[in-house]
Amino acid sequence: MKKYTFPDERGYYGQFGGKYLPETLIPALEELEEQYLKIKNDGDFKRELLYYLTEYAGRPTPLFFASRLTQLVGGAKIYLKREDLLHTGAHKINNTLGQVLLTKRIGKKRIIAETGAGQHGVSTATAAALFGLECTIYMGEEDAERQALNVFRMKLLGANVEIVKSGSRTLKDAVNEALRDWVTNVRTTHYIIGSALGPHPFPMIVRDFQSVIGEEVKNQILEIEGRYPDVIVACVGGGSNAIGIFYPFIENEEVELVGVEAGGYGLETGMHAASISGGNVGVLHGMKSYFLQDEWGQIETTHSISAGLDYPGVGPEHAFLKEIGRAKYITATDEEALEGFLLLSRTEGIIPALESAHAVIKAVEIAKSMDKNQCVVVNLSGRGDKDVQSVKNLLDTDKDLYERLIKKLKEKYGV
Amino acid sequence: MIRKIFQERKPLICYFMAGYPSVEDSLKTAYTLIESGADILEVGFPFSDPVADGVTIQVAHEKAVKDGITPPKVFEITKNIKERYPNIPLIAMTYYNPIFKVGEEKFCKMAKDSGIDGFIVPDLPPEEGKNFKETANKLDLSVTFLLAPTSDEDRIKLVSSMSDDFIYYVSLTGITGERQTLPWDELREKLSLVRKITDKKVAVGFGVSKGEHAKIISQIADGVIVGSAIVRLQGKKDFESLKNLVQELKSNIEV
Repeated sequence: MKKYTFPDERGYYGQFGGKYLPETLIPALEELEEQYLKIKNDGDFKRELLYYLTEYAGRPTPLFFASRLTQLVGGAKIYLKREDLLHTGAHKINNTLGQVLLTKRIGKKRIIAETGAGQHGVSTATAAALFGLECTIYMGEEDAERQALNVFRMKLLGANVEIVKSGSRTLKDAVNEALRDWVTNVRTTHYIIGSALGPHPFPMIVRDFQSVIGEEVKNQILEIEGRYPDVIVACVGGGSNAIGIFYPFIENEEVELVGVEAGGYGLETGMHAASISGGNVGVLHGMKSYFLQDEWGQIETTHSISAGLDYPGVGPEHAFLKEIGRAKYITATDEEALEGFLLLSRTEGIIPALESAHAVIKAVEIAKSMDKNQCVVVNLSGRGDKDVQSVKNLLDTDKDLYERLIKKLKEKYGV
Repeated sequence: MIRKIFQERKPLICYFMAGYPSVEDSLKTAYTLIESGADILEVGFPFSDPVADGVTIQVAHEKAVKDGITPPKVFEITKNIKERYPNIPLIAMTYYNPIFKVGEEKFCKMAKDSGIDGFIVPDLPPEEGKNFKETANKLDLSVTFLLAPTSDEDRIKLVSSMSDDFIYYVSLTGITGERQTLPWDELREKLSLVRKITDKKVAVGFGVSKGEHAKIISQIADGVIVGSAIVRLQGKKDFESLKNLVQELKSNIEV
């Protein structure tokens, strides 16, 4: 591939991206872009960010060879990029630290964020505490119920948590409410969008801050295998962990990039959150991208077992990578994700976040069809502690499901 | 049609939500607005994710979407209004996604065939709206872009060059909704800057909810836009209060 230079100067990735927001916010987006481009390559900024990523968040994260899983699957070698080991338990902190440092440079004293599973909220509240910024997190009521502990965690960290009761009461509505706050308080407040989505320059900024994942993988896999991986697999909600690991490999076309969307109860049921696989092009939350919507452009409700993937759209760069065929997007159902959740727990002693479990189970399927001398890297974007309670509740109430999963693990992998 | 009214007077522009709380009630709202003195109507198109709107209008969006008020149903409503009041301009106020999904050309054509005279699309800034403006203009539909307190001189130039009949000036940094008072000093200052840069007509909206507001705005701008205060009464089907509100606003506008 020739040099990959997206987004263009208008903030587009091919036909996707742009800045579709009320006028009040456009000057703030312009200011943000200007400031970001100014400090992006500034030595002091880079050093400061690196310091916090290393000494505070715990980078670099290991690239771990899952030998037992590999053996039981019987195909390509499976490597896990351990973002789950980061402070606050997920890749989100890469972006929040970067954006909080950016906020400080811009001179704003208050930050806001939306959160689905609560991971981005916790990580934003954490960074706010670290730098003494005022912080408000918007979270849908339904998400707050299924991730109650994260609500408390954010409060513990000193953040103000606003429960959003409008619309579908999930991530989409939390974004709406955060945008309403931003449009009101734009002069004093920076909005830390949690994924590689929203209006330009957010998808670019979040991608850049998350690219540390892929950069590390490049060095680590070269050291271990002496070459790049054959396939990289990551889960895709908004798509920040995926773009973070994909982006440094985009020009290396021999590396296959696979994004796994939330298939919910299955694409055919309409109860899912797979906007690339099951949606079409629209405009929402400041960007042109793929969305789940009806024929008149009304955004549809989504379903996923994992709150972090439960969003009806996807970042514009993924839409573009799909369109140009550079990345492939598939889905994993709720039940497949649970299989991945149990499988990784029992074979490697690592409980993955339900989001990441979508990537795990599909990476296993892909690895199985490959040669033993090939290798697959899975982005293990977060840890599963936050999900233990809800998985317990689910398996306690649905005994059939539990039996089915246990039987599957025995038959397919002997665990 | 819109331009002509702005030349004649300082219009009272009234927003209402189509299909809310029912199709009949929204028609009755529109007729009440016109009969009580509205010069131009802004017709709200229901959308699932109205990010620029405060609670009052959000609730209206949510209910109308749930009740299946699709663009064709809104266009039925506007057709009815136009037949009864052919001299009242109707401006479609819609978020961009329904336009995009239906297709800009098709949406404009449907609008044209249904008595619509122009568009206001709050989440479509001029940078992204060039194509839409051309498409609409071809059918003689006017497009109004918005200015906000945060817009600088360059943006004022851009927005005024793209707006056809008038500019929509957003009175405050925030979402729609009734306010006790507005940031008058800032508003005066910004409007005088806008005046220096362009001679396009400027109407002011967001937060405008009483006669006193209409009075001050009419002294410094060319038109008064009212939304949430109307939608609140529309939702309650309180047409008597609606009539009083519009008359109060209208009588306070200084020509």
